[in-house]
Parts: sequence; C-alpha cells; structure tokens
Amino acid sequence: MARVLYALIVWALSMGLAHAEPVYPALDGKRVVDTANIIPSAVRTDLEAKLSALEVKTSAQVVVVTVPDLQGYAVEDFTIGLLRNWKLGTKDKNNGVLIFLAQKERKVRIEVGYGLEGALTDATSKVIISNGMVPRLRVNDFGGAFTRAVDDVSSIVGAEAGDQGWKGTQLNERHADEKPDWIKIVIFLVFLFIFIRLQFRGGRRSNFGSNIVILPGSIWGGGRGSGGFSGGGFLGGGGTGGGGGASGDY
Amino acid sequence: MILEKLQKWAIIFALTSGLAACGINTVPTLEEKAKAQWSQVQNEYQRRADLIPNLVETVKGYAKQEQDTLVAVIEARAKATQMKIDATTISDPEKFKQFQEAQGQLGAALGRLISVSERYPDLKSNQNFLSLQAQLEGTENRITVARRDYIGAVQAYNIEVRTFPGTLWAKLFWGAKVMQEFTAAAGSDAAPKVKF
Repeated sequence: MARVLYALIVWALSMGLAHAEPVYPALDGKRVVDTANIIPSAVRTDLEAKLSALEVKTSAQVVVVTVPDLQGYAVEDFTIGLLRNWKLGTKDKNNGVLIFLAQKERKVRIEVGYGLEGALTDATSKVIISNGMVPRLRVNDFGGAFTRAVDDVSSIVGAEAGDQGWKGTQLNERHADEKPDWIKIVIFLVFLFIFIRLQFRGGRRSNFGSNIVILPGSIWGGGRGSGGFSGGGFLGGGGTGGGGGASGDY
Repeated sequence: MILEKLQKWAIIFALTSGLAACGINTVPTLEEKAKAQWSQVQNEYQRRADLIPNLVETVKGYAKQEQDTLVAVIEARAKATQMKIDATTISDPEKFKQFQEAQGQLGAALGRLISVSERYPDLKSNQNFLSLQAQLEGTENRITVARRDYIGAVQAYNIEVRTFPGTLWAKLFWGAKVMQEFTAAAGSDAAPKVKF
C-alpha cells in the first residue's frame, strides 16, 4: 500500500513538473517572432528573407525571438524549453538556433541545437553577443543588433554546412519518417484469413477452441499521432538541443 | 498440415504481440532511455573536466598567488575524473552519491576560482580567459539540462518499475532495479556564478 502511495506521489510530482513550463510564444509560421514588438518592420522582413535563404542553403532553422519578459524563469531554462517546444532544426541534424531577447530582464541569449554546437560554440556565441549585439542594444538599436547577430550566425552556420544544400521541400519531408502502415495491414489480413479458415474447419478438430482469437490492440492502433501543418508556413523540423550557446546582459 | 503449423505460428504471434501490448517491453525501453541520458550527463561532466587544465594554466599566468585555489581545483578535478561510474551502476545509491559529491566539490572549487579571478583586471580582459569562461558557463548550463533530462527519464522508468503492471514485468521478468536521481546537495552543488 505504501508503495502504491509512493508511486502515486511520484507520478503526481512528475505531472506537476511537466506542467511547470512557461507560456511560450507561438511560432505562427514566422522566423522573426517579435512578441516584444521592438524590431522595425523593414528589418523584420529583411531578417525573414535572410533566415529563409539560410534554411534553403543549409537546412538550419534559425529563429529570432523577442519576449516582453521571462515569466520568472532563468533565460537558459526559457530558451532551451522554447527550442525544444518549437523543435527547431531537422530531426537528424538538430540544427536549430534561437537568437533570443527578453526585454524586461534585458537579457540576450543564443541557444544552439545539438547539431551546431561544434560550429557555433559557446565562445563564438558569446563573442556575437558581447561584440555584435550588446553595444547596439545599449543604444536601443534593436534592428541593428539582430541584423548583426543573424549575419554572424548565418556566416558561421553557412560555412559549416558547406554545400550540403537543402534538397526537397521541408513540407513533404516532414512525414518521411512515418512508415506506411500497409505492412501491418497485410499481416492483419493474413491472420484474419487464417482464423476465418480455421473457423470453417473448426467442426472437425477443434482442440484449439477456434474461438480464441487474441488480437493485440496496440499493434494495430498505434502510429499516426501528428497533426497537419498550418498553411504552409515555417515549422520546426523535429530538432532538439542540450543547452549549448551563451547568454549576456545589455 | 500446413494449416496446423500456421495455426501454431498464429498463436505464438498473437501471444508475443499480446505480451508486447501489455507493456513487457516498456521496462527495458525506459531503462535504455535513462541510461542514454545518463551517458549524456557523464559526457557533460567530462567536458567540464576537459576545460579545467586550460583554465588553470590561464589563471596561473595572471594570479600566481592564488595557489591554494588553483590546487583545490586540480585536486577536485582529479578526484572527480577518477570516479568511474557507468550506465550499469546508476542503480547503486552509494556509488551514485560519491559521484555526485565529487562533481559537486569540483563545481564549488571552480566557483571559487572564477570569483577569485574577478580581482585581476588583466586576467578578466584576457581573450583566452573570456573564451574559457564562456565555455565553462555553457558547460555548466549543459550539465543542468542533461541532469534535468536524466531525472525525467529516471522518473519515467522508476514509475514504470514501481507501478502496476510494469512492476510485475520488472520483478518477474527483468529483475529491474530502481535508478538513482540527483539530489540538490546544499550549497556544494550550486553552479559557479560566472560574471561578466
């Protein structure tokens, strides 16, 4: 009994932990998610184009994010959660990057997915922040700061990727890892057929009791949990990260 | 004849997949996930240990008189890297505690080294030191993330092992043991504050 109780408590706690997450801004198909509304719209358009071109060239998904505040979380906790929430980067390369700013806390951070930690190292990220961004942010040149950061990140990520171009469209490849279910269907039909045949012959030697038909539910029921995508906009590709990157204040 | 054989196979198939459906594979699956996360934790600690010789050398060049702090870091590093604890021993509470303590002491020694470095303006503006500081800060953050991921994976595994029906499979079939989680040791475990 005590064990059951303990397990219940552990479960309840883990549920609690799982829900203790900040409210993340929506990606909404954009590459510049300016929820703090500090980047001039001309710069926003320009950055969108640059980042889109970068993804076409290298498959890396770089997103600029500004938030009004961190909802009481540490900037590192917020950005790793956000990167994972949006699943930036492709599933096999994990090449997502967040260029992040929290307005109220005056914090910036570059959060780097697993796959780009080798190119965009912590030290490099720190240099981009302290040399490229902070001096501009201090004079409220938000457009300039993000343009500079995007240019720096792009040149590093672009050099890393070399000419491994992004082939095919991201929308079609998103479901490529989901194998068709026809194998399951064929197996199911074969067994169904056998059992039906047995049912018909059952009268003659029914030592197996031909009514025992154990068809495990989960084999046929699983798979296909993913929803559709929203209007062909930009979406994360299933990547993740482990806390690489650097933070700074301005 | 053929039909009879097929019938046998059909029943075997149905039984095995039936077992799979009621969760006999969940225990080893979660176990492997937790072990993989554990490797990630070790990986990040190793990364921190690898940064230290360079850091110590750099600091030494500017702050020779801080011999005690430097020696403390080197000793704590030696102690922490000597501890080898692999994926199979995370279910050993004693070893796990030792590992955590050793890493905690190294973290504390590093914290002191960084705070001592604040007193040396030349060191603070050294490019090499700045770069190492950024790497150390990033690594501490990675350790935090890896530990959190590990705790999540262990929680999922422990819950499966302790609750029905997973507990049946764990005891009867796999002989699975509960894994250890990190505990926040008072003070010793705090990440060194890296100021810029």
